[in-house]
Amino acid sequence: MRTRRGHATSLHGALGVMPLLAFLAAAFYFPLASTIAGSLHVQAGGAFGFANYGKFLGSHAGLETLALTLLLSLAATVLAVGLSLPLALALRRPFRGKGTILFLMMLPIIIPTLVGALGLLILYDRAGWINFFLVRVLHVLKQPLLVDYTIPGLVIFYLWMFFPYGALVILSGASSIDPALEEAGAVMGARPLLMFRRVLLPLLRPSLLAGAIMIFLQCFGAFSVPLIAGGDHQPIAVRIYTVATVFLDWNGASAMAVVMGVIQCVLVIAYQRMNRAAAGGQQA
Amino acid sequence: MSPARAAASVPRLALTLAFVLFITLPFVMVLLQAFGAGWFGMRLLPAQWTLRWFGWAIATVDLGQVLVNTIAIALIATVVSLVLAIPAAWTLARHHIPFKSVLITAILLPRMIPEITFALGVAKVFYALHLTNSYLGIALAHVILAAPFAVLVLASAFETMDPRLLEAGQVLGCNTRQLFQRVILPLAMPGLVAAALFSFLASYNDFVLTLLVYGPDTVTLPVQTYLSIGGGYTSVASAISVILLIPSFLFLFGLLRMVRPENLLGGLKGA
Repeated sequence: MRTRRGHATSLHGALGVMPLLAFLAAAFYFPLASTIAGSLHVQAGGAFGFANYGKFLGSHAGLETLALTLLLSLAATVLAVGLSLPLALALRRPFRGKGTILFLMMLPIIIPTLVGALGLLILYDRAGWINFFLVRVLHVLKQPLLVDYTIPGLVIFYLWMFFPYGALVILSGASSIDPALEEAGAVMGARPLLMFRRVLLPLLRPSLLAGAIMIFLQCFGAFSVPLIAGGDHQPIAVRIYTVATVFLDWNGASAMAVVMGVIQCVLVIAYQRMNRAAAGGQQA
Repeated sequence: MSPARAAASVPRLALTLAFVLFITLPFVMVLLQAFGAGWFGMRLLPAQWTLRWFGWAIATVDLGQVLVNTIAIALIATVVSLVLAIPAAWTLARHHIPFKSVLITAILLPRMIPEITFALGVAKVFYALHLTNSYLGIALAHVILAAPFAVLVLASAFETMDPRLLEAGQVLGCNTRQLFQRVILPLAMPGLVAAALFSFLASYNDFVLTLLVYGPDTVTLPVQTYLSIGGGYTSVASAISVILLIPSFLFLFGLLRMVRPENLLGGLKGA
């Protein structure tokens, strides 16, 4: 609804965004540009070129970093979507205590990531609760399971930390499914499995994809978790930090940061497309 | 409840319970580690309960000063974030301006890419400007993350403001100041409070940017947690973590009443 005088199109009205834009230009875009500029020189003031990118994308260590990052992110994403789907289907109807469940689901998103990683490290420690129950209480294992600082351990930690990002998207998709469609399926005699395949899954597909990209985005950018719980396994974000602050190769780290930022932007655009598709599907 | 529905609710209950345990256990671990001693080597609970790790944190890493640093920085960041975000959100929500979607993307970009991708550049520029190891400098770094999110929250609050109410106020003879005090401010208050809380929390919890611009006089709670974990002092790190967690729990508790959780996703990201 517009007022009679209307929200006139005017540059005068755009003045309000100027302070924020000026701040971001100085504190965000200028540093970002200087990172990109730095990535194009091997040494400060040295010759212009793509040597830093060659060193990262052409080296065994660089490709290993990318492969580890992708492996961790993909594994955690698949598990997270697999966990979110049954949870979303179980929790989509209003019920008593749904607020509490949503509160818990938001927790890993809102708390400082470091604290979650610390709790997970203690929980999965050789002498932690998980091993205590597996070895001493249930007697399933003779020896404690080594989880902390391993790749499967990192996947479990990523799962805890990042599945809520997707689960909330998938839950909101599942909650908006019109019950009449399921009733129609039931009247037609569809059994639960058929109902799931023919009615629920097609309706949920856009939210599942959007949720998956959201989780992947978070895993791909993960820094705090692998920093303290990764041990020798360094995905790209941790690698950038190490190269910059330990090896003091600032421009080499900048090239890695640019590669990471570009991949992340492509994923964000894909996510926004999927989200729009999900919203469109719900309205239809 | 019919027998069929009761049967169907058993797996649902089991699934819900598993989910609750999965999410909450790491927090239980941090609490046990922070308030317990003699808890090693396959025990369910610590041998004794103690506050000594908090005492250690105060004595060895000056927890009190770290807390003061963290809160002071978060307060500065909140004020600067709101001062920048309020006019921007008002403009985006209530004016037609050219290239609006480009502008929105430009404002939200800091929340779309991982902190580490621009933290290097921020550290370099802030170092050159002598903004590292100062409250103001670290607060300004946090504003990069807090302000875009405050714009999101505020713009949606301003957008839902019914223009007919403003017109009614004018018709009834409000001058601009009265219109602001009696109509706009009350309508915008929930959005303003939410934006302020989120800015505070974004700063209070930030780790990545802080790690690259902090100094000896400006250690914050997340940085100190990291340093204590790195030093192998798990119990001290857990004690600090308990303090670090309090605002997140309080704010989440309050915020779930104000904002729909799905709407927060675009802005909220841990790294």
